[in-house]
Amino acid sequence: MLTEKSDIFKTLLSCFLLITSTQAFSAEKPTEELVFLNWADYIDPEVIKEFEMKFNTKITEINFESNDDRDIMVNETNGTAYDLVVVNGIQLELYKRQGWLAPINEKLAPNIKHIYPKWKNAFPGAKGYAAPYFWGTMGIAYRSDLVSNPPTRWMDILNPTSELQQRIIMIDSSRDLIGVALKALGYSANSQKSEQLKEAEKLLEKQKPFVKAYGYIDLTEESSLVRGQTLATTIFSGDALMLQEQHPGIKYVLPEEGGNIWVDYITVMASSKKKELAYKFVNFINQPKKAAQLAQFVYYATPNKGAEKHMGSEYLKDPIIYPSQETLKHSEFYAQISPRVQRKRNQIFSRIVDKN
Amino acid sequence: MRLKTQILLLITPLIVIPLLTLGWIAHNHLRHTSEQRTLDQMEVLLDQVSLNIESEIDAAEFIIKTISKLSLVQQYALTASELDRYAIIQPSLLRLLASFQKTNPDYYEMRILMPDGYEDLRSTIKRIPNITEEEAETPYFKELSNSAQDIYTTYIINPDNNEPALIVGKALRFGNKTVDAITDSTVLRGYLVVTIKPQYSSQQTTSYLFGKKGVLFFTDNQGRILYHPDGPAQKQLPAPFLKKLKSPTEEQLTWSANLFGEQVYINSRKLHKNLFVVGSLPKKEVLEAGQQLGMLIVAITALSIILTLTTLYFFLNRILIKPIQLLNNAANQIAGGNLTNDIQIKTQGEIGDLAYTFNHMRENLRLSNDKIRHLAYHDPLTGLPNRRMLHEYLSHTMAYCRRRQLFMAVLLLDIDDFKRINDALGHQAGDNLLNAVSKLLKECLRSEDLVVVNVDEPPDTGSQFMARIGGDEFVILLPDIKTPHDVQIVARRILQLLSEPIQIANHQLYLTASIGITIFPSDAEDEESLMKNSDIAMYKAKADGKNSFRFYSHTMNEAANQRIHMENKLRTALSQEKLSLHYQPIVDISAGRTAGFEALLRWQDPELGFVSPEVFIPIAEETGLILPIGEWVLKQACTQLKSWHNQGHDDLFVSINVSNVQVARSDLVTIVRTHLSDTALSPESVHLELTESSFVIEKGRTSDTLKKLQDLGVYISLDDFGTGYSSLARLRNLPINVLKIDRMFINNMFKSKEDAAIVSAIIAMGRSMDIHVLAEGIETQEQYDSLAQKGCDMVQGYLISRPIPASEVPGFIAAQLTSVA
Repeated sequence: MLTEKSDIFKTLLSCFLLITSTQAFSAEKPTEELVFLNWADYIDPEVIKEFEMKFNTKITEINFESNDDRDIMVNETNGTAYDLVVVNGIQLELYKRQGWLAPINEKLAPNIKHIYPKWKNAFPGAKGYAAPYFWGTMGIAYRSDLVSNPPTRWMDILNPTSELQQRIIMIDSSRDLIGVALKALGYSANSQKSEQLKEAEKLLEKQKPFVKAYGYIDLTEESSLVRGQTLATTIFSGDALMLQEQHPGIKYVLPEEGGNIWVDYITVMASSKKKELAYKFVNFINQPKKAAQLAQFVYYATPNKGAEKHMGSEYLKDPIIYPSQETLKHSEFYAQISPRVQRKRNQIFSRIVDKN
Repeated sequence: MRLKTQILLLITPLIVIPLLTLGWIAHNHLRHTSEQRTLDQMEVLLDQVSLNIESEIDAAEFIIKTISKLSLVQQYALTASELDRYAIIQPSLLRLLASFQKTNPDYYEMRILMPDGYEDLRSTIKRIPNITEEEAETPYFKELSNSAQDIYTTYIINPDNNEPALIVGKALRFGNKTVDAITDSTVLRGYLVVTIKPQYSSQQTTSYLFGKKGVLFFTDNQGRILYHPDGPAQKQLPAPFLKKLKSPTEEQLTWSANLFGEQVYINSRKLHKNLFVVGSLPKKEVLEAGQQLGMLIVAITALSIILTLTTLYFFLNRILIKPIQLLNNAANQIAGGNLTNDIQIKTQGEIGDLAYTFNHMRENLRLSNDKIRHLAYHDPLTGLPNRRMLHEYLSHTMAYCRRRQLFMAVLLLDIDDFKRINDALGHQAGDNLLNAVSKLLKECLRSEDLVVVNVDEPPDTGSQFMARIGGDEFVILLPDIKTPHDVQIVARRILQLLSEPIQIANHQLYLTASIGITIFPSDAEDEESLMKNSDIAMYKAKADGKNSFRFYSHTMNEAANQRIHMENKLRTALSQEKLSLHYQPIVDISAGRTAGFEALLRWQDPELGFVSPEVFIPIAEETGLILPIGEWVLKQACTQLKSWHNQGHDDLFVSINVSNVQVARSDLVTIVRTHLSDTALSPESVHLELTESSFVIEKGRTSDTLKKLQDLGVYISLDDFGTGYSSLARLRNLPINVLKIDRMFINNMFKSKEDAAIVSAIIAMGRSMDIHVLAEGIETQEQYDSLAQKGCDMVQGYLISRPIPASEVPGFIAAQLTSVA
């Protein structure tokens, strides 16, 4: 009885410590520092260095592994721990409603004018509160050299052949994971129909034993995909190209059922005490030359129109970075869904991923 | 009734009754203790369960309080917009709760309910079907929302999975953080509800079992059995039972009930407002335990009784009954006449003393018995066996001799004229005389053969035996005699011994006795006849002039008489010079002429005719007549030789036969020396012929005598060589000058190679040892030639001449000289 109690204590204590330490971290931050919550390997460190030199500042980068992961991190501190956060388009509205986002002043960041207006307004909460950063698709990366039947459809990894079993990594964000299952079943990723969601859950439940892990693939040379322990994974297009540099056998495919077209935005947090510096950073990275440099580092398509003339045509014609309209025919943006459906999706996801 | 039975009958109740009483008391006490122990065990288990439940509730309430204070929970409750709550906060909260549940799997359902009962968030470990998301109408939610307390805890059966559950709910009341915090007006935002798998249902069932069939089970307010270790908790408690359960009269009191058709002891605890734990112990089990205990005690008691009685019986037997039996047996043996066995009782104390006294008594009895027996079987005067003993011994000995086909002589001895001595000198002197006689007789026979003490055990029946059967009569038994002559020798010896004067009370008495001899079985085959015939023989001896013995048998008397007759004749012949000597020539082969003569004794009796020396010499030796005869022969031969020497034949020698009796019993050396000096003969002209027995009888003395004779200068001649057992090697140590080869070898010389070889060997050996070798009994020229060729020194035999009277010797010599010439 006593030991059980102490186990519970430990768990709770660690929860508290996590919260308090993060808060303590932000409080002690010197004024000239910016805390940037970003995907891993999602910005050229050279650009960061240039910015730090130019403005005699320091950028502390904190990484998240998935959009859900980021939501938890922001949530836990109620948005107060970070100055700059990379947010996916669909979450912008929610963030705005939480009062976490500061409006982007184009006067303080004039280079935003180089961005295609269509990206600026692609999601309901984007307008005036977020600067488009990159856009891309989510598909499958696989080891063409180790797989005899290269996957071309989501079903190929959701209902894998034996060579892929236990060699698959699935993304651990509810929106993406359930979206993949829905797309594989031929439904919209934004489906709100409980029958379709049930089918999706069943499919994921069936796939679960063959999944090596729920998470996001490591992008360094240590990556299990590079080493061949993982043979297929859900991945964002640019990341696949980044891994391809580590191992030429790695290939990316946007599945025939279509994927998700996503847009990442850079936002300035409402609670930030260094909003001015933060705007300067937004402005700095949107200089066409810098934007081109950034894009070529991460292999994603930049929404910055001015940057295009600073990049080679080879890059602009890469079908993975800039997929054709034909390819994108079945792909879709995520759309807002009703709260109770969201709640249902939460529970599905929780049952699939959290309880393993 | 036997002593053993009596003692056992007395002691058995003394052991059995206390043991039975002790067993009864122990049984009662132990049974009570055992029952109490089982019931106590139930109490302890119940208390333990109570404590566990308490701490389980404490822990759960503590945890729910802690979780409800987490900012994420707070934020979740405060976020009014469903969209924001679900899209942003819920995943985080779900993940947090899931991670908590991973380490605490008993907290299998965690929910957040809205104030209106809507289930807003649900995190379950496993997929549990959710009956409804609208919880407003469920009994639990009603109780929760009506509860005045912040935390509402209860044990229910979870409708979702139909399993017992501990369910803890906490109202989440927070002020709106966007509104000024100072107002601190909190509003109910919802409930945090945790469903826990109760410990009582997850514990191992064995922790609810005790004794053999005692169980603890759990029930709720309505008497529904929530959990029963023996199986699915489906049963409903009967209403009276439930009533009693809910209103215990006295705390911790065990009561009896009939539960599900079984008589049981019940003890219970109210654990929570909706949870009871009930301990149930079948009465049968308690009774059974008591019965088993009873059986055990009975067994132990019975075993103790058996053990004690057996031990007691054994010891009684050993220290009392057995010795008494032994004493009884010994007494029986004594009664039966066996006095030899000691009682083997070694124990100390009265029994031991008794046994000792008993043995002592028995020994005394045996000694006096022996004394009586001795008196009965012996003559009190001489200590010799009496007539009674003779009777017994004789019958044994007759049987013995019959078995072995032996002859036994019965000698009846009567002292001549004893009555006269008795009358003249008085009874005392007579008694003394009898004693002296018995002593003499004992000396005469070998004394050890006469000791006969106990006739119960047959004595060594091969022994000689002597008894005094009354007055002056003695009986002597000589078993295993070979010839009548053996008896004769003994009888003669007895008579001779008695003829010595006996000194009695200053009187020199000369005694004679008469002996009658009967031979068993030739003369008589039964005791009576034996004694009667001995008597007849004895009187015959007396009638024949006393101081003699007579056989009962005529033939034996004849033989004895004839021998005596011849002895008398021989005696007369000696005194009347009826004996004469003949001489047989001995030729020296190398010289080719007569070298000497062997003197041979001749007895020509007018009545008996010519008597062979082979017949009369043994009689002479036996009677001792050989001594004067031998002396006569020596003197006669020496005188004759001297006369031949005086006639000019001074190179002749004479060879004289000497009996071993002479060697043993007379001073032969002195006699020879006397004759040599009387006749002035040169000693080497006298040869003394002896047989091997003379050398063998008494080695030291004989050879000593012979050595002395040799020292005188006379020649010693060994007669009949080869027939005795002397080895050739032994000759070296003997004083021998001449070897005479036995005539038998000479006779067989040409018939047997071995004999020829022996003759050659003797001759060769004689030469090598410088002993003259003489061959006797040669009858042919062939023998003569062969012997001459072998190197034999001298020969004697019919080839040369028969023995001739002395008177013919000069003529023989003259004739020989003539023939040689």
